[in-house]
Amino acid sequence: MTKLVRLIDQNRCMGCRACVSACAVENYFTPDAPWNVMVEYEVGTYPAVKRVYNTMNCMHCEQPSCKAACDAVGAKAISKNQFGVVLVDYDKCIGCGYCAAVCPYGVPQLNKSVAELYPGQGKSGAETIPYKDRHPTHRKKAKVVEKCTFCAHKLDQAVADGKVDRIGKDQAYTPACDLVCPVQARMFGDIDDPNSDVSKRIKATGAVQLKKQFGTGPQVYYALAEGAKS
Amino acid sequence: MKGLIAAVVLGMAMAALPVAAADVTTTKPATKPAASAKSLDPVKGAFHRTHTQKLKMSCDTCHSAELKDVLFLRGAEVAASGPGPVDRALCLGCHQAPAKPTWYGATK
Repeated sequence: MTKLVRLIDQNRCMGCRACVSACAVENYFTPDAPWNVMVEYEVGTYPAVKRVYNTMNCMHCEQPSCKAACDAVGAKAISKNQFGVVLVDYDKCIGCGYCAAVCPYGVPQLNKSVAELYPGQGKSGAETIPYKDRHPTHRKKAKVVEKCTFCAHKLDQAVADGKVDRIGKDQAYTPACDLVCPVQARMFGDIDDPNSDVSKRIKATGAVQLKKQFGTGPQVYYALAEGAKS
Repeated sequence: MKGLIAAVVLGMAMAALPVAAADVTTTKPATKPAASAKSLDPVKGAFHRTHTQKLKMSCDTCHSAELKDVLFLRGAEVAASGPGPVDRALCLGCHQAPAKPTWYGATK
């Protein structure tokens, strides 16, 4: 089995937001419904204080509360694929917002209207791809929920090309946010492979999941800065 | 003549019927969603109705002007005029214990 996970190293992150920008461009999310945000907060007591940068995107939980809620209302728009990636089917989503209400991480974003990434400046980059030619996760609709997909369009391409083993290694098969980090604070790969770089680094850094008390089993790990919240 | 036209129209309608029926069955969800797009509406939404009307919970049971939990992907600042955000940790009191309605760890 291949279980894809992400590692975010707070000890390296400097809050530059390159990952947020890369996600915005790659997935042209509506600014009011972001798929990736940078959360900042301070820890310590003066004069020994410091700032923690905690970038947040979907945790792709093993027991996703969003999916439980969606199934309970009967929409069944949320699923997990063979890599453990949690995806929303825009055609099935009824826009009830239950998933947003129950996610411990506040991830699902109810997109009220499909807006251009650069309003008033025309379409840019991948926005110019004809609607029917887009990956299903990019066929945006108003009044449905959106969120990070671990760049599912790239993962599907890896499957189509028979290069699943290159996920997290090749640019074409790695999420945009993980590619652009200038300080290698992000890493993506298969945690079921004990020899993968991400497995080794999670072990070496003692990285943990956030908010474990919810029991959702996030597939995003954080190497916490000293004093950081988990 | 009128009878002939009526027969042709009726025939065309009958021929199109199976196709239309097939379209309906493929697009209609298998089960009717119990929630609507108004679910988060404070007055009409089922989510709030369950907590406020059925469980008789007051607003400040869940909502707080100060959210202590910063690890939250928030698209925009919470409106100052609103009752404040909900700290999800509060939900665990009812929604994680065994044999209670639960979202968290629900698929274990």
